[in-house]
Amino acid sequence: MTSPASSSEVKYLIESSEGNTFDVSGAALRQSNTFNAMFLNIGADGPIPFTDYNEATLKKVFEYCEHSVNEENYSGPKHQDDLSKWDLNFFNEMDQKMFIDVINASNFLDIERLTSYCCERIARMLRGKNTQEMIKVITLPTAEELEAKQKVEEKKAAAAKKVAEKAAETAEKTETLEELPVQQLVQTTRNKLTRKYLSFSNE
Amino acid sequence: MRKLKFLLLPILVIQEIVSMMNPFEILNLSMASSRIKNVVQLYSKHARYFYRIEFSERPSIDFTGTEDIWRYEITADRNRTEVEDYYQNSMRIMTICVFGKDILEEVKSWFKYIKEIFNIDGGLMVIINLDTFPGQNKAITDWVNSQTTWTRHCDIDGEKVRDDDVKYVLNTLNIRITLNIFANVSDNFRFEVPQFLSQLYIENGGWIKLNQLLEIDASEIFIRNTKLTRDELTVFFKNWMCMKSQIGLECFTAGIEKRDDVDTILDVPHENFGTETIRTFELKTQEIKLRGGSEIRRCDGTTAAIFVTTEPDRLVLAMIVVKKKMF
Repeated sequence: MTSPASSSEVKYLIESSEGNTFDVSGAALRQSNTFNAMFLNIGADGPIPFTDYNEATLKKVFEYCEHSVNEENYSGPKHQDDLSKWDLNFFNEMDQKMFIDVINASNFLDIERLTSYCCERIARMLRGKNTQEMIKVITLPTAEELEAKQKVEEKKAAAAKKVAEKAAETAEKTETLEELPVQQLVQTTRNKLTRKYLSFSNE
Repeated sequence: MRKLKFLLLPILVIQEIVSMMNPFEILNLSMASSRIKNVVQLYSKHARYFYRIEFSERPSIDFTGTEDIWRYEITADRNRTEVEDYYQNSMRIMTICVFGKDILEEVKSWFKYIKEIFNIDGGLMVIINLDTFPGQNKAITDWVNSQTTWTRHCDIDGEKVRDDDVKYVLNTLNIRITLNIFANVSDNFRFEVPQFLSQLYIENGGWIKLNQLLEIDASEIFIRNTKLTRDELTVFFKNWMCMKSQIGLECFTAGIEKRDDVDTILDVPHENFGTETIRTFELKTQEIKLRGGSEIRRCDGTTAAIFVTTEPDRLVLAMIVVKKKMF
């Protein structure tokens, strides 16, 4: 087991709805603003549960994140025509169910670049169409489906509230840390890093 | 291919998608169902457009304010192409023709729907040609007034003299930024020009008398076909120099008869520049270079360039208040 030379080499363990876990690099995971808000500063003691999404969807989302690790910082939506061959393949090989799952997961994880490209793709599906042509592309959900969506939104709102509470708690902890002597602070931080690595190295 | 369950997408995703659509697509999507309409309505209210309604030979409702113009043109001519896409003055204009027998009613009902979807409550741009629907000018004005709390831009056009209609439009609409009166009015026309305008253009300014001119409070005043005398223009400049009127004036033009008139008009302290001197001035929409001309100074130190310029068929006396000198 090697100690992490840089944060990009840190691996995190992600848990899907099936209860399966898999590794994602810290650099890829940091593209998720949700992750940054929840875990980046405080670390995690076990697999990070993204249990609203199945393994295939999460793997697809993080495949994108891993690929775009070395790309320039995101600076707003890019036109579909400017997408690379890899990006186009990435989108084209998904069926519509997977595409919608990826949008939902990407939206929850708040991965700006991926969400924006997905939106652009849908906007493109509707581009230049009249109402009748649009109706051929989109369908209206049933009352049950809308109810289910509302439940999901409520669940997410509750999760967001939890995150906010956790962030507030972290802020309190940070304040406490700042009051500690420098040496102790360094040690605390190092301990946290080591613990994070040990927890998620999966070796 | 499976259909996309649009409303099941996350709220932020729908918002992002709507923001990527043009006005035609937003309106087409909104007509897909009442539920979709409610959602689209929610997210299109922050759209970045200006809305322009034109009552003329070719009535239309335009979305402007971006690089392109999106236009619904209401027509009774069934031979027209349904969709047109062309460039005019380097601006792309995309037009969808809406066919209807009663053109005015069609304009009103389309605007009603657009207003509902884009949550328009003020700042309309209105163009009215008083000759197109001669008997209905007052009704049109009342309708426009009922649709907007204030009007950003108003053009009033018309060949035939219709003082009452022009007055009615000006009295009824709350015009705040730009007013262009191209319509013919009689020399007896009297009207109190709205205050604090950014631009006032009067094509047939024979009715503008000195006391009215001094009361106009607009940043840019352009009056063509004026009957103001040379002495009256001198009084105008004197008042400006004493800060008695037009404190916020940035640009003023008025027609004159002869180039030499400027010597008589400038019966105020001024400095003349030789033709070898070139000065640059910044106006709201353009930068102009001026060779020679004169300069007058206001009591607070502000200066203004006075010069004569030509339009295709006339001479124009122009005044530009100096904001920033660029040599």
